[in-house]
Amino acid sequence: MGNRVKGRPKKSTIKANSHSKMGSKRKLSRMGKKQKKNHAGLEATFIGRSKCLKMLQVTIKDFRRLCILKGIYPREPRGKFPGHKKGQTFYHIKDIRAIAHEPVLEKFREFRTFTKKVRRAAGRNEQDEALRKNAMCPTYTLHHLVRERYPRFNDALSDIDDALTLTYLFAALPSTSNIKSKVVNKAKSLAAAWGAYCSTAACITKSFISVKGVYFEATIRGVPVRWVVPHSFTQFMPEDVDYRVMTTFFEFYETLLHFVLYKLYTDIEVRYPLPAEGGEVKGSTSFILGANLRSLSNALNSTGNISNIVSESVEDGDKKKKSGKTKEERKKEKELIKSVGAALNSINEDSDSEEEEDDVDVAGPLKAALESMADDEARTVLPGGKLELDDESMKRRRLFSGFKFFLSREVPRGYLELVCLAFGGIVGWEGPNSPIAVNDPSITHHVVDRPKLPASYSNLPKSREFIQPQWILDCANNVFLLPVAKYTVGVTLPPHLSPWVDNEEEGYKPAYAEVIERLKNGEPAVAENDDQMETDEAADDSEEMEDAAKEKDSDTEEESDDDSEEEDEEDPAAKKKQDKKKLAAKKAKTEKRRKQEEEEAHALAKTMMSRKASHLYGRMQHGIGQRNAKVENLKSKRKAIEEENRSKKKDTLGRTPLKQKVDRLRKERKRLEDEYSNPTGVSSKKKSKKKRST
Amino acid sequence: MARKKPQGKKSKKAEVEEETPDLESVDQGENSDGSSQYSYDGSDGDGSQQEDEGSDVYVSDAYDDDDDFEDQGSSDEDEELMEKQHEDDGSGDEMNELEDLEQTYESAPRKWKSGKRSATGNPRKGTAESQLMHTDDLSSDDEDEDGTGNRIGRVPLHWYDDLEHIGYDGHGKKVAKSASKTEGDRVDQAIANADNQLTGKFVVHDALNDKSVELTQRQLEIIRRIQNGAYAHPEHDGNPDYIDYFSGVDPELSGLNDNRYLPKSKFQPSKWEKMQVDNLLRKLEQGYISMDYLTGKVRDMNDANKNKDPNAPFLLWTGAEEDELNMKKGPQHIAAPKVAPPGHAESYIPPNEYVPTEEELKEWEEMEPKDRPHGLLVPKKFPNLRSVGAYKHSVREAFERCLDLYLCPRVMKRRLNIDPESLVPKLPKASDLRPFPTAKCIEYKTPYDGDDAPVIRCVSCSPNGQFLASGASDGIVRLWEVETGRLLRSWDLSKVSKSVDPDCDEDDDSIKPVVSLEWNPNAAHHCMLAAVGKCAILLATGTEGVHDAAITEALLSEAKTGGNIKTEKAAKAVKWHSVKSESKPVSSFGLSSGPICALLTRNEVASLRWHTKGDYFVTVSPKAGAPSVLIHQLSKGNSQQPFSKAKGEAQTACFHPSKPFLFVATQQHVRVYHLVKQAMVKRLISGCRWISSLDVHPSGDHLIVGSLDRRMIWFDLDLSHTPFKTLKYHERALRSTKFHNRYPLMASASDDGAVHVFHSMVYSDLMRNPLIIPVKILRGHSIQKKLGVLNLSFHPTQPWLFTAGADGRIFLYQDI
Repeated sequence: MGNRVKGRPKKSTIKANSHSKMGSKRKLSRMGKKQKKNHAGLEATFIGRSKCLKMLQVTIKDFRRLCILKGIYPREPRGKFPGHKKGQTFYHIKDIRAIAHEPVLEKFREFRTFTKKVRRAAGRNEQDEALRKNAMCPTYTLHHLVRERYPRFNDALSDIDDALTLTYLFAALPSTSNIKSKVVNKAKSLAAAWGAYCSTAACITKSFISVKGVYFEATIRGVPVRWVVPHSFTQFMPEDVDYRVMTTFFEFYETLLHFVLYKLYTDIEVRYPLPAEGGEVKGSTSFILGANLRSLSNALNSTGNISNIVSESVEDGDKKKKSGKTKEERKKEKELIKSVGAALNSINEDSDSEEEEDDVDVAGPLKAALESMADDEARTVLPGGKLELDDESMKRRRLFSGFKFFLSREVPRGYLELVCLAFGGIVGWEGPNSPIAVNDPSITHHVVDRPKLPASYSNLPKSREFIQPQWILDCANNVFLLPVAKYTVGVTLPPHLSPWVDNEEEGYKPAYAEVIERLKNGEPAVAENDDQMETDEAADDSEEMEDAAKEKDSDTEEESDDDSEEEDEEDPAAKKKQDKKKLAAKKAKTEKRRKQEEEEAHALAKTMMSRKASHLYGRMQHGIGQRNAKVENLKSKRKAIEEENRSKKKDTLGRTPLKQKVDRLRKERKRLEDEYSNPTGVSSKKKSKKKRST
Repeated sequence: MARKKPQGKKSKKAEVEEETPDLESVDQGENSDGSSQYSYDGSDGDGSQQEDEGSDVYVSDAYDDDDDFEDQGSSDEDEELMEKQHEDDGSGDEMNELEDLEQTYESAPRKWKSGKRSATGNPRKGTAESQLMHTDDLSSDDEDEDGTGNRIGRVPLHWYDDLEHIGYDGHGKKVAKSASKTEGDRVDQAIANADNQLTGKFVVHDALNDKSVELTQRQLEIIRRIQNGAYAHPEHDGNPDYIDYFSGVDPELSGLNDNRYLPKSKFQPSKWEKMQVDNLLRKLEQGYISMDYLTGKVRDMNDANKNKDPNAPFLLWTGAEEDELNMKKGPQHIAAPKVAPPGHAESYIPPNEYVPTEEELKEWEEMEPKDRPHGLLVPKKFPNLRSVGAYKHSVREAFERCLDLYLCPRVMKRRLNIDPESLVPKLPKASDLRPFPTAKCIEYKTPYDGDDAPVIRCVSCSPNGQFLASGASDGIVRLWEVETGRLLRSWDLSKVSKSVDPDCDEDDDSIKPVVSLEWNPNAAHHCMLAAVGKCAILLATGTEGVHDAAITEALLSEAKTGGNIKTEKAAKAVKWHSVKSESKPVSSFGLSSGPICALLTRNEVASLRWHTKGDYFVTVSPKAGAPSVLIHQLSKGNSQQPFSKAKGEAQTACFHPSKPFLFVATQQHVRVYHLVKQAMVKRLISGCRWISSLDVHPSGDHLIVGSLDRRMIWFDLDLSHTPFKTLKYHERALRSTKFHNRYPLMASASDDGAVHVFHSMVYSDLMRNPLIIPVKILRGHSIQKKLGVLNLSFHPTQPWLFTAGADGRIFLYQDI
């Protein structure tokens, strides 16, 4: 071996080299150039995991952590790897070489020696020594990895989904031995900061309450970001989950989110990080800061009250900028902002008033609020138009404008507030620091999630609607104010549909989606019966109508047949009509034939397909078939359910609702015809025939 | 005192004397003083201490050990010796004397001070002192220059006691004893001493020269100093004054610490300092230290770093990323697929149809969780929001997502986003390619006994298009009129075959089916061939008119006589048996009709084909080995066996329409032989497993092959030995493929009961590929025992098609 680095090709001796060169031309011509090992191909590109460990001289634990932090993942070699075992993972050799130069790896090694030293001291019962050494624990930073993995800011944004989801999950987890409370608190603060940004920038586009949690999608700088907020209950912690892996991921995600948030906040010119909870902000005795802290702690506890944080932090940050201000000015500020609630109110009102104008930027209200606080000079904080909003987001922002929501105690405040604020509403809640009181007459929507209204609500102003929380999300997803009737307290809610499903592409449209579309198109709502099942079947109604119409048609056809027999001789026009019908039938026949021919031509063309193409075609057809089967399954299930419901609703005469409807329609039609025919004096029959012919 | 001066060549005595010149002088002084020869000759040697006992020994010793003596010439020792001698002498007087002497030394007035110099370092001036100081006469080392002193050397003096003289001087003259020396002189001496003491004189007796010497003040001083252990010379300064050379002395003058010329290092910038500054700068640039640290505001950078949050966010993306992105190297990033958005089914109030039924639930339970349509989630309808609880699997799902992200191998897959219909080739409209058979017009109904209709194995149309012959599994060949569908004749060939075959018993009632049938393609030759069992049976059809009767008669004459096979080999393989039959001709001109001759081969005949000219025909009996392919000439009643060795099992064979070629199909290949040259020209590789049928285009340049593994293979004989086109469109095995003689039509019949008709235009232009377009699928036959359409035949002049099915029916499809 000598001092050759492992993995490098062995250097041949000069003698061997010259020897091999002798007559090499002949050799070359005969067998081609000799391929050196590890110079090209898969062996030079990919490396197995155990080889990686040997190369890097790390333990598997450290290697995994490095992989997580540095974002290195195994790759699937395209060809067959020589000596490849099943299930073996391969890394790109350049990825691994990049790890070898990683400063974090060096820190890991340092840490190992450090722990050895501390342990040694502790083992010798030298407590002082151990404590002294313990303070010299090596620390490392990860921001260089963030920059390396996400060279552009948009790269980072587009890969932030997992980071957010994990952060929100950690924020909801109880702190145990596996997950320290420090980590949970960090996650909470990050989640709060993220929520604050989203609500302020009005970038939330979609939200959806799932069994798994509440899904959100925000579009930031054109990049869609999706994350899940778990329901705020104690999460089940399975035993067989390796929490270390998750905490390592969180370690990186935390850094990533910090930097992303820093960038986002600096873009709207707000200081980041926000002043943290507790005694972190020391020496700041001013009234505003105190208020700030209170609001922040509230926000952190419930992930709510977020927009306040931003505004406050803006103020705070600004205040810090001008710490050299005179006392008078400070006093003025103090007077201006008496409390957080007042500040919030003022800001929100401002935003509302600005909303009326068309050119609104979200930073605007903040700016306005700020400007109201202090003198004009030296106020060049927010050069307007930092956050340009397109039409879509304008529309969203205006959806709830002018609405005041009041969240009842039992309603999960955090995410609902987020949605309300993002869509331009104002939110109050039951509890401390609420900007709106319960009995405020300006409240338009009171969000309640109870079986029925408590007696105490009876003396509230009558101007408000009592709704269930789903209404807010459904409206927000469709960017359309749905009728409140289906969402009032105590009713059975309509299905809550996912905003991510493209019904056209899926090939199946749930009934309620059709209802919403009709409402959006301005068509009148279908006559509603008292039972809300009807709403579910709104779509079916239309179908039924069609059915009825068909039935009717067939009926009339029969009739007309009868008629024709009767009126054969007397009416040449009837004959003409018959001819026409025959013609039509013929036409249909030719059409059918044409279709058949087309099909045959298609079948013939398929015979000429190459093997590869036909294979691909077959696979595609298989996929299409599967999707269709799924849709068919859904359709058939829906039909079955409707059938069941209908059978339940048979009336006293034993007629199905369909039959009832047909009867009703017939009657109606008759009446109409009568009405129509009577004034003109033509017989109803003829009229009806005329109608048919057209 | 310890000075030892090398004196060059001198007598020993002189040396000794010279060693201690001061003392010598003292001695002399004493001598001159006249003090007796009490042995103060310590300066003279060690021997004097032994004076009392025996001086002989001593002297000899002294003389012997010359070097030793010299070595011991230290003054300290002399002093000691001196004192010892005093003690050894033992005479109290002498001791007292000496003590007195010492006392006198001590008490003697000192006329000199300690030999300090003045500050100026100059010796003091003074008479007494000058006397004392530097009075040593150092002009010559020689004691007595004139040589008048005793020069006997170091010999004991008592040798001269009895003599008059005491020795010899430098000139060799005797030195006489002084007259004064007597025994009783001691008193005089004492008196003299006392006198001397009074006068302050110190006189010592010089025993050598026998005279008294008066010691000078200086000599006394020296003695006293020696006795006290001080430096002997009074002028020697033991503790000189400190001279402040370095500060006190003027540097300019002294030359010490002279700054007049700066050293190089004083004006050269320091390399070391530069290094230090560089180091600090580097640290500053890299952020290890701050300006605060350099200016001393922060003592320790560690403290400063501790206060800073390392994870504090900053503006990571500044907008100049695009260039960086272009610079980025490494493998392409494969982004993980996003989690699919929730569908309606995951809603807390899904539409009713999304809620699974009980059967579906059961089905899902049996599936793996990942295969279920919604994973771990089971869609459920909640009445309202408050009844929705926490999702049980949220942590698990998040965990699995994490695992997927870092453990799941990723591969870039291109999704084909194309319309499947775009894959289907666009064909010209079939109606533009007319005529071709489109509709079933006539059915030829085969009469039969029993339940099942006989399977029609083969059909063939007469060259004038007036008659149709069909062969069925009941061994009967039937002759039909095409236009009317009337059955004209039928011949039971099974009987004929059995009668000819010697292997068959008379009472064997098994029926040999008619496997193959072909009408003579020459319009003037009114005969046809049928393959039944081991025989190929020649049938006169009796359809000839007045002109053709003679030709046919002539043609069949050889066959009627039983043939005459010329070669022996062929004669072994086949035998011509003439058959006698009585039957009427079909037309009024016909001579006769019915089987004329049976060619008995070695094994079952599977196929037979005429040459276009209607004289030669080829029979194939696949299992017969080498003579499986036989070529017969009807007009001469001759047979030939072209191959002496079987190459694979021949399935079918046919002639080239215009050239002397024979195509022989084995199971997987088609071999093309040149009959005149008797050589194989080409071997076509079909690529299929089992060839069932073969047909040559009327032009002779194209060949189609049908196979039992559903393929229809088109060979262009001009191009290569591999197929020009392989089509696979039938659902079951192909049974028969045929070209139309006149129209550009081609058809294939299959066991799936369908007949596909193709427009197959062949161009004389060599650059253009043949045009193959499917134009019609004819379905009319039902499938019986997995067999569908078994044979087909085109009408020779019209675009009509006859098909024979296993359901016992024969159809004529016409172009309508």
